Order: sequence, then C-alpha cells, then structure tokens
Amino acid sequence: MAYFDNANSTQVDERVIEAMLPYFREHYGTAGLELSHSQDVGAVMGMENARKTIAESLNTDPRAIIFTSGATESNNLATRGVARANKKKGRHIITSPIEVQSVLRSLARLEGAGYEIEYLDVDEYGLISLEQLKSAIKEDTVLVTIQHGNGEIGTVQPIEEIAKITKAAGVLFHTDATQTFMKMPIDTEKVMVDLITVDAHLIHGPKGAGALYIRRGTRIDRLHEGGDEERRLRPGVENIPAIVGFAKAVEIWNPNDVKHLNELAAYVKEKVSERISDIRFTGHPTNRIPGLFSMLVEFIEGESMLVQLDMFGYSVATGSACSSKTLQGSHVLKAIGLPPEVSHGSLRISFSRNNTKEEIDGFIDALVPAVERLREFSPIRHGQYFANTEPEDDHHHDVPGDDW
Amino acid sequence: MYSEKVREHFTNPKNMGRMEDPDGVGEVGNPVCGDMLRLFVKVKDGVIVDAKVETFGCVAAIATSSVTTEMAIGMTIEEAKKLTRGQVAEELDGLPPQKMHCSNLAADALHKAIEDYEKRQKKDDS
Ligand code: FES
Repeated sequence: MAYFDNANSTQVDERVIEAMLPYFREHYGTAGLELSHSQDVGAVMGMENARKTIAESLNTDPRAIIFTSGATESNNLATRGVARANKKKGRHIITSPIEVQSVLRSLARLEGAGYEIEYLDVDEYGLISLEQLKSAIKEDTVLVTIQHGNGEIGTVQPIEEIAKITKAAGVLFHTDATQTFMKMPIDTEKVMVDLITVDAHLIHGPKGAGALYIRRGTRIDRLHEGGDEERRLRPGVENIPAIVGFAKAVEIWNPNDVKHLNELAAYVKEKVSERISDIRFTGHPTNRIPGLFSMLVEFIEGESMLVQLDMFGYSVATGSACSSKTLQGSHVLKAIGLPPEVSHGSLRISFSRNNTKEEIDGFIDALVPAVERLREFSPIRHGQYFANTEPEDDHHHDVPGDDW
Repeated sequence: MYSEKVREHFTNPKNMGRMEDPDGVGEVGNPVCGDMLRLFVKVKDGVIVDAKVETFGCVAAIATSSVTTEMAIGMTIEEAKKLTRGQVAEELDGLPPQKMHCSNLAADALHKAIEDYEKRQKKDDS
C-alpha cells in the first residue's frame, strides 16, 4: 500500500500541523493592523516570519512575496494582473499549450477581452523552442508565461534561458513553479524571472496557501477590491495558519530529499521497463521534475488501471479522458501529439520523501497483473485500433449536463 | 464512487474475451476518444446461447460489458433487441451520472451483434 500521487497533493507533515495550531488557538487575530492587540500582533508576526522564509527560498526580499490562496490565484493574479497594468504598452501575451488550466483559462478571459494570446509549439517532450519564443516577441508583447515543470509529464522548461530572452526584450516573464518549488530552487538574483507562482500543498504544506513572487518594479494590478492586505494587491484576510504552515514546510525541506526522489523515479522506471511490454515514457528523459514518473501503457485505459491499483491500496493518477469529469482527455498529452486512444493509457506515479523502494516493489507486483488482466480482454492488440464508428457512437459527447 | 456491484463486475467480469465462430459480432467505439468494445454472440433457435466481449475502456465500460453479456445470455433475439442502457445500469445498482454513457457502449454493441447475426441469416437464406 502506498500513496504515489504527490504531484496532485501531499500529506501534511506533522511538524507543519504543529506549527499551525497556535494560529488557530492563540494568535487568531488578523494581520490588518500592526499596532493592535496581542492576538493581532501574534498573527502579524507569524505571517511576516513566514514571508521571510518564503522570500529566502527564492533569494529575495520579503516585500516581493504576496500571499494568495494557492497556485490558481497566483496564476490568475500574475496573468490578468500584469495584462491589466500594462495594457497601454500592449496586449500580446505568449504562453505554451501545456500550462495548467488556471493559466490557460485566465488567458482565455483576456482573449475574450481583446488580448492576443500566442501559443508556442511544444515538441514530443513538451519542450518549447527558444528560437520560436524569440521570434514571437513583438513590439506590443507584455508578458511571457511558461511553467517551470509540467505536472503531467514532468518536463522542465529552460526558464533561465527564457528569462534571458525576455529580459533582453524588456518583456515580463511569469513562471508557474508549483510543481518544482523547493525541488528545483530558483535564485531570483540569477534567474531574471519577474513573477513566480508557488504553492504549499505539494511540499507537505497545507492546502489553501500559495504565493506570488513579484520582482521589484513590476507593474501589476490587483484583481479584487477590498482592504489593505498584501500591499493591496491581494485584499482579504490572509489564511494565516496555512501561511505559517507553508513556511514551516519550506523550512523543514531537506535538499537531500531531491536525491531520494530522483532515485525512486529511476527505480520505478527500471522495474516497469523490466516487467511490462508496450509502454512509452512521456515527457523529457532527463529534464524532469524530481520524483515524477509518467508513462503510457498501451491497449488499456487509465481509469480502470487506477481503480484496480486502488483496490490494492496504491494511489496513482491518469490523464485518460474516461477519468475526467468532462471526459476530455489531457490537453498536455494532446499537445505533445498523442492520439486519444494512446493517451487513454497514461499513468503518473509521483513520489514524496516518505516513499520507499519497497513500496515500489509492492506496487509493481500489483501493476503487472492489473495490466495483464486488462490487456487480456482488450479489443486492441499491437496497433490494431479499429474505428468503424458512426458519429452517433460518439458516446463521450453524451455527457450529462449540470443538474443545477 | 462506483457501486459495490460495479466493482464486483469490474474485478470478476464475466464472458470477457474472444469467441471462435460467432454468429454475430458488434463493434462500437469512439474514434475521438478511443474507447472500444467488441461483442460476440452465439444464437440457437432464436435464443442467445453465448456471448463474449472485449472492452477497452473505463471501469464502468468493463462492468457494463460483463453485466450486458450476462443479461443477454438466455434472451431471445427480440428480447435482446429491447435491452436498454437503463436496464444495464439498473442491474449494476446505478452508475455515476458522468458514466451513464459508458453503458451505451455495451448495449449498442449487443444490438449491432444482433444486426450482424440477422444479416448473416438473410445471406444464408438467399
Ligand atoms: S469508457 Fe470512457 S468513460 Fe467509460
């Protein structure tokens, strides 16, 4: 039994929970006023210390850190906040098709409001091309938003190189580092990225706490109206217990964990290759998020694998269309050129520092028979896909509407 | 969440696999998303005496494949023609709403297998 879905969320570390508790029980004030009563003062201090910790992890000043409710909000703030504040300069934004939905849908909103969104191509590994980026930047480009690491296929983009290009062109650069935070540290003194999205819950911190790093001097507008919190960029009472927990998760992060994560990913890759035929690895072979292994198991469907593995106590993820609510397959797998019947068999195994090789051995022993069983009664064998279907057979379009 | 019955049929599906010499074969699938299902029937004196199915799809698709073949075996051709996805889902104690469409796959494949059987019959007659 083991939890291998750490790219989705992680277990909160006990030390993080301990650190948070006083902010429910004693320091339950808000951080609105510094010269206030002791519950408020305690809360302010906890939060400002947390801000320092997060700032240090990015090698920056605490004033560059804005706390948010998580990666989704940070991505929305970075994209639409920058677009709004810089619209006099231009309305052209460059991104990639494999960003998370909070980037893509935020940009879609801008598109609806008259902005021009340009999607760079990605290759079979999901990598963008720096040459294409260079030539895409125009006079009225205001923002480039490219994720650091991709949570589905693990590919890591060359953000240092991207930052050089955007810096030289005088264009702002935002990166969503949710999946790589702490695992692949970004030194903002060296990498000239202007905005960075980070989140607590993938590093054993709580859900509901994230931050946006904003380089000094970056023009950005708030999305909400309210009070003076977070330098008015993000009004609303901060989630102080979660923010304190976020900082604790950063504080107790051990750089050696990365080595362990890499070893686990290499181990599962080796074992899977030994025991299962007709698989393909997804994402870049070497530029990868530590501890994230992703593959396609041909001829079978991911949700059925996931449920069977769950019956044996193993938690993994799939990008199969069948497992999503809207029955749309993963946009990432589509963007790297995989047809839906192949991406159906996608499996993502993502580790945390708590996982072990023994757990992987047990997992492989559950995975092999699961794959064999499902393949046994699959109508597909070795590339023999049949599709003799008429439009009315398109059962995935028979999706129930919202009940209310 | 899937019902106990769905999980049971998924874990121990009945009548899965190929059939040698079937009297009718029905294939359905979705070229857009890739789910596919192939159902075989054997017919004697107007009654379905055996059914087998191959499925590439989710848990619901596998469970409905299993239960559809179980229900079909013993039915007359006319009865099997009337088998609906609603009945299949009911037999499984219901399916999550976003999975109702999967039960189409098996019912449609059964209907197509019968069509195929009837076509073959006509050919034999002429
Ligand atoms: S077969 Fe695709 S959702 Fe059931």
